[in-house]
Amino acid sequence: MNAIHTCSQETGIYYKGMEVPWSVNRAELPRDNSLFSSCRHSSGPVSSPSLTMSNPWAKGGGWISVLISGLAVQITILLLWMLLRRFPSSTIYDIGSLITGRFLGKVLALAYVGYFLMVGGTVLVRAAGIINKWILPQTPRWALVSLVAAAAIYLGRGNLRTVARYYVLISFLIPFFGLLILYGYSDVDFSYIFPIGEAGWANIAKGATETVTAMYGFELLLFVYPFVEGKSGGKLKAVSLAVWFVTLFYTFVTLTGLIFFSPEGIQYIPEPVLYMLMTFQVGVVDRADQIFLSIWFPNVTASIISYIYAGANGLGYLFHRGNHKKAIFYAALICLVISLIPQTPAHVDRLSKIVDQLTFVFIGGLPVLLLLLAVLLRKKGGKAC
Amino acid sequence: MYRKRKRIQSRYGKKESHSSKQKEVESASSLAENVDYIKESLFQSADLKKRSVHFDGREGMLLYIESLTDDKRLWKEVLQPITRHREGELEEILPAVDIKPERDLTKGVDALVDGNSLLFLEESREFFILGTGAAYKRDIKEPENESVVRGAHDGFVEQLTINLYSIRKRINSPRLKVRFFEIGRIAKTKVAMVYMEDLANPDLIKAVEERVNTITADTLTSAGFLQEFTEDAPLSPFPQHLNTERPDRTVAHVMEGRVALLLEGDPTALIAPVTLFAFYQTPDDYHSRWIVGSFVRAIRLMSFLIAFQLPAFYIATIAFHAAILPIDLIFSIKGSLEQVPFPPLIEALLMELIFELLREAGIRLPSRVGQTIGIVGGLVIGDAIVKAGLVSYTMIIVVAMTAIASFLVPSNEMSASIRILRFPMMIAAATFGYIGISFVLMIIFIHLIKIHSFGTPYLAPVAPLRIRDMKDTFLRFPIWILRNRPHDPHPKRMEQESISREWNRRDP
Amino acid sequence: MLRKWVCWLMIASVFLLPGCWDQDLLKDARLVYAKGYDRSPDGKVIQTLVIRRVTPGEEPKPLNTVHSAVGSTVRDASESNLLKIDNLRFYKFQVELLGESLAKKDLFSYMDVIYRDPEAPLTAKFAVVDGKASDILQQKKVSEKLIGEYLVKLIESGEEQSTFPQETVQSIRPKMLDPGRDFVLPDIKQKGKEVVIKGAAMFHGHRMTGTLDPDQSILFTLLSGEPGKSARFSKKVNPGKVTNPSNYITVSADGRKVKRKMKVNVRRNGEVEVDLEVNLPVTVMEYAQDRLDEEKQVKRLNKTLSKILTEEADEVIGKMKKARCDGLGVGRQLIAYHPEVWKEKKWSRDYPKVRFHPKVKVEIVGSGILN
Repeated sequence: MNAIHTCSQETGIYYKGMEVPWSVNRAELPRDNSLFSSCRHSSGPVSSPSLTMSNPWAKGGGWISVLISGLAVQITILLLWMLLRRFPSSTIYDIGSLITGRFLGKVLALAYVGYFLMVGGTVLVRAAGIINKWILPQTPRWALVSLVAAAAIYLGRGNLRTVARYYVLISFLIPFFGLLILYGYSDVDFSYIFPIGEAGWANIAKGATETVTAMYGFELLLFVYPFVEGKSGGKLKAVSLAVWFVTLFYTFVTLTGLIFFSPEGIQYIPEPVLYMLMTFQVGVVDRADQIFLSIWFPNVTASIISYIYAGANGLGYLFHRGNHKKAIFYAALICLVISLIPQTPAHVDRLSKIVDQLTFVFIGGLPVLLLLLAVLLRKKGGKAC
Repeated sequence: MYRKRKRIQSRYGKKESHSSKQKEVESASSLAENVDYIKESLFQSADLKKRSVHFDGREGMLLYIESLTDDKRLWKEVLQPITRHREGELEEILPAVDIKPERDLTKGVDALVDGNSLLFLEESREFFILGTGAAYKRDIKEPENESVVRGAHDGFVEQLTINLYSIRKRINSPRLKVRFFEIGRIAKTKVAMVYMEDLANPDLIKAVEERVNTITADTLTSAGFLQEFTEDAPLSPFPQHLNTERPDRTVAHVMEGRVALLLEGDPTALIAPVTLFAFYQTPDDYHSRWIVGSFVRAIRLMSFLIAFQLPAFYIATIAFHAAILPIDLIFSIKGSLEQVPFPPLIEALLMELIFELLREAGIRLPSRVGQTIGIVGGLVIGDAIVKAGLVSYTMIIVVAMTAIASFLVPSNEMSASIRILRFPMMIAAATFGYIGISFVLMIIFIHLIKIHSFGTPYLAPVAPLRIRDMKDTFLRFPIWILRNRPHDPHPKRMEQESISREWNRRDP
Repeated sequence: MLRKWVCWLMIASVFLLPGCWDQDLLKDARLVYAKGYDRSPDGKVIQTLVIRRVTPGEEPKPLNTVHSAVGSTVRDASESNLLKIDNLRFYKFQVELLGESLAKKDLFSYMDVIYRDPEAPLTAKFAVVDGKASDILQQKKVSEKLIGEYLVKLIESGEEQSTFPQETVQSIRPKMLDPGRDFVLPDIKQKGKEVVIKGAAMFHGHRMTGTLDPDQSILFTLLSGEPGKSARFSKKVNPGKVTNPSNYITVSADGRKVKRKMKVNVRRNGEVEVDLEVNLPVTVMEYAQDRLDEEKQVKRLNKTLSKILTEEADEVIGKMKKARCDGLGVGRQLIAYHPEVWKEKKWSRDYPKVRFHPKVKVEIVGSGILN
């Protein structure tokens, strides 16, 4: 607690700490592990594998693309970690102004807020799209989106610790996903995997660039890093563990879809997991996809919440002297508005494309630039709390 | 919170200073003056009796409130010895009663309304408070709403001393500490705080003490008052103290490092801090074998989910997602629905309403008439409402299941909270289907994560996750595996058992 | 404060204002139990729906109503059915019949509507009808059983006895799209007032291209390695009169114990050879001559049965080649393990050129409670 507390005071996160100090969970590593894994997991075994599979290059090698992109994510995380390690008590919002000065730093912080909210809005619109497509075709998007926003505001008004606890709770659902998907193995043909690398390795690598952006979530490291207790090496280990857990999970899902539908069959199926579940009879439940979606909903909400929360903290940092409770309302509202803008699936795709490109800038480009600057200017943040 | 407290302090001053501020009235040397003062203080109440005595050659007056005093004791232990001896040291003459000399008349009045009698003597500034209070005791019976199959069959009663006796008798250790508070600005109620000195966390004790001390109500009539004044999240539907009328349950919690609050005039103990799972544990779990105990507890936790989700799930299924029903089931459900004129939500609300009416009526009626209610509810409504085509058979099954599940909760408070929660759940299910259920569940769990009971996360040990404490959460592991106390009240010492089965290991 | 109120207002409005956009009451739904498609002579689709209703009351009784409508596509036909029946719901149909006239056209284009619908039950059964699907469905009842249930039971028992492989709406989709694999569906026909199994219908690509008799289709499921619970044969094993039952033996194989090995070899000249070996442990169910305790006799029967079945397997494969139905997935094996060879082949032309070497090995392992 003390560590988190002092940390948060430095970074300007304001705890209205009614919590009695002795009630703090000191087992920090497993917590942030699940925090990261849920962040990244939740953006979806539904939407993400679809991206890898529908891309025309990788064909039967979609699952290899996932593995490659896992590796790419690992490398990116290493870079982010090198930057964050230099400023052990600062979020990306502070780091900007520490390196580039007050004004530029504020601009940078604003940009990151915009980016986080944009990603949140995109995930939101895609989640609403999937729900509309699969179970609630008539329900207007604004209604679904406000459900998520309401949950985000409610959870986001608490401190980061409650958010993390929510992720812990949510991660109890992950085994259910795995089990449901395992049902698919009653009717699969492993020969669909072969020949490995049919599409050519160049194409598989190309497919991996699409997959990387599907693995959103790890960028939250930029925001969450200083709040997590522990040594920097331990943090890296925890995040890497989470990355590989998620990568392997994705690979498993992608592979299952592939051998269930055949490489040709999967091309026209944007949500293979749901499609597969539609054919299962689990106990007395005839249609597992509807059950799956209702388990998936809190998960995807969790990932949206983390973006809104990150954005709200930035807003709080910029406008409310560090009070994110006021900002969370506006952050959720902005996210909601972003998610209501695109009107057709084509618009949604365009928004996703833009966000994908932004991801490369904000997660790949800018942090590396900052890292270089920090190394050149020999800037370093205060010692960790 | 802090702001509010400051305001209170500025208005009344600190609690301690508040009582000391009460004017001290020195007793006069004149007997008549003192007696008049006392009479006026009680506003000439008719049940204030006085009796003149002679002692040490002086005129004296014995004052007592008739309704609060034990007549026989007063006669046998006070009046008789005084009239026989007529002089001497009072303490020697009256060996059987508690004697306290006092000069402050206001304290005298307070003692009087507590059931004591006052002895004034002419030409003396000192008067005596004699402990002659009457005690009408109820039998120690097993609490009806918390009965167990095996184990202790005693319960708390309305008298604090007896309740404390029940606890002390079970924990005969010098480390058991009892502290008293007198709460109430006008009518004072005695509140006892019981904990183990070497187990309970000092921060917890401080927190409880502070919250109890800041209560500035005129009176505390029941434990419910105390509960609402000291809760962390008073707007939450979930209770944050465990209410129990069972001494054994109280003792078990005290031995885990929690604090129990007992109130004069109320047979319940409030235990804090507690987690959600404490409401699903009963002493029975530990009386039966651990496999049975685990099984029963697992069923009980399942009832937690059934009790507020089943009607919602049913509504969502037949109004949104009928496709998930298997082919053989779908037609039998459809057949029973065919005649019902209402949408499922209205149908469910109607049934729930009838059920709640019956339940409430059943509580208020004497038990003999209560049976009639059962017949009316079970036969007339259950059967006729379907024949009239107002409600489907399946809905009756669902509502009945829900009712049974909600009564499975060992705590009455929690059971009521859960029954309330199913209404928003049903509305959400009727609006968004499964997604609605998912949403409300999400909100409920976020709420559970956010609230604390005296600083302990309410959903511990699930969130924050602590796998070691899971041994006594969803299942009950054998007692010799429960080496450590649960972590959530942050006891000073964790170990509660170490080598009880050592003999087994040594045996070849 | 204002923010708080806006929040509450938002939540309240979501739940209370319009509400229930997607409500679709089970009570009002007209559930389709079975459907059939035929092709009219002028190329239109005839959709026949069996709707299962329940009489309201304490003891609900099932009822069937059958409706037909014509349209230029499947969905179009449903639309015209919707004009007659309100609240038509397809989410629980159990079986779909395809008239032969339609199955011989492009099946995939008729299936598209199912694969596109998030409510479609993808586990429904499929059958091809020799004749018109509507004729069968119009019967409403077959020997006191409602037609829908009857058809489901018929197909399920056929699957159990390995008369045809277990296929559902979903499971044929990858096979339809996979160039290296074809599928086989149940084939039924009307016979008087009854509906009987006629065998199996072979498909190539998206079209039906041939049929197999029940005996042959059992052999096909064995060769493809996907038998049902059991597989039974009656074969004439003794010389003598055809009319004498004691010249015949009936054996049954346990589907789980059947072992199949398929090996696809590619010769240097690009020729494809397939070694198929089926091990069939069987139990004798009927053999009037009954001298099964003699080892010699058992060996003779093993040999004769193996020979007969191997010959029949040859016949089945011949028929499949003729229909160009690659039901065994030889092409898939080529794609997976010999991709270079596959690239040079044009499968619908080259498949009949594949040389198969089927070998069925029968072994009697049991003889009931007699010896």
